[in-house]
Amino acid sequence: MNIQDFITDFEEQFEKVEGGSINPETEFKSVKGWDSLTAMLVIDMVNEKYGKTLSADSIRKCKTVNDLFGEINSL
Amino acid sequence: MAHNSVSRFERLKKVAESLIHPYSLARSKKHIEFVDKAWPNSQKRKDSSYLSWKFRSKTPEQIENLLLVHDGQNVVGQLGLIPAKVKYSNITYDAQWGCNFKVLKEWEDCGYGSLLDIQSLDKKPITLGASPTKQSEALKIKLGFTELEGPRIMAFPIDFKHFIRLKLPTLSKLAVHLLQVSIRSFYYLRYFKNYQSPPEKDIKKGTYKDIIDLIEKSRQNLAEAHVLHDKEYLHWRCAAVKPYREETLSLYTHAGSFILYYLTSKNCYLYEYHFLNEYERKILLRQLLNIASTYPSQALYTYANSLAEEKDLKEFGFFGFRTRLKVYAHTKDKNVDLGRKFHMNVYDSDGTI
Repeated sequence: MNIQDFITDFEEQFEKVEGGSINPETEFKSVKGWDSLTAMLVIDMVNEKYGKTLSADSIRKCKTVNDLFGEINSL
Repeated sequence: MAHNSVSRFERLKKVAESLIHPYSLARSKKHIEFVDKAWPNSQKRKDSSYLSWKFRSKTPEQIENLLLVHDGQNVVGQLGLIPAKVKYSNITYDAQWGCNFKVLKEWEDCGYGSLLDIQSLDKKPITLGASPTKQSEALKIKLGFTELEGPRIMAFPIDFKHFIRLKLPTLSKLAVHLLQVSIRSFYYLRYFKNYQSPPEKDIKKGTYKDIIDLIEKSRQNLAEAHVLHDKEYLHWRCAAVKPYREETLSLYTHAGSFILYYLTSKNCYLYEYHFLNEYERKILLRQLLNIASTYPSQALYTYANSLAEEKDLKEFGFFGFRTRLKVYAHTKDKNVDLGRKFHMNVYDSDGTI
């Protein structure tokens, strides 16, 4: 998995977000439309697509998309 | 969640099932720790007897309608569900009101809130929510809740200083005092008859038990979707719950007009009212104003469900809040139709409890 593919998958979890508007340094909890359900959809996507179990605690601790990407890689 | 497949929703439901459990005696210690963080000043929200009453459980040891979400061993969020029956077009449905929704600040937007909502949706055919926060409202829309038009909150000021401070919090003490004197003078002059004691012989004072039949009769022909206020509901909702709540009180007339009201430490709430004519409306409201002023309450609060009710209450001196309440409803049953409006009273949902 590379970060660009992950960002594309990540963007798809939002109802409305323009493709390309999120980059590795984006603080994902500040993206318009991020909420509790988006968090769960990201956890589900990571599980389905990458076969890894991301926890709510990881979401809580990570700030940027890059942090999240690193966290998934470490699992 | 229109853009996601059903199977995805089913997967989230499975996650919810693994992390969310109803309140039980075994979880009570962790729940108390959660409440101490979420609502530091609330005793009743950690009292299992009170919670058992509020969420209509048969036992305080296992409260099925209080869902707790866990991170490891700790409770990090909760959602309460108050069972009710909803009637529309002569059909009565089993329903539930979502309330006391809370996820600890440090866990907000990490997924637990949506899981609580998802887990709750299967428990009854209809799930309702009233006036959610903006954040919660957006989530509800994503989960397929639809918006129904609710009532308008109406208030009659008794402690004018309280209202001035609410509207103009930066005003100096002197300015608040001066403004209060002028508004109070206006009210006393404009509505001076309201402050006179009405003829006692025309009004009976009692509890909710005295007007159960009147309440049921007054709601027989309601056109909008509404919570069924039958005997079972009223005996639950209006009873005393020591040491937290007194019995709900009533004022009524021989002819059948009534006010069902509840005094909290701050305000007087008109839970429900029905007036047969203008005279009875005036004497009952005057009597209630008299009681609330003596108590003393800061204001009378109620809901108006029609323009006619708004007009009548405004004529007495109530003012209406700018926006109407929103009621959100969710159902998976395509045959369930609740129309576009919801007739709501102050004591539906978790108002004052």
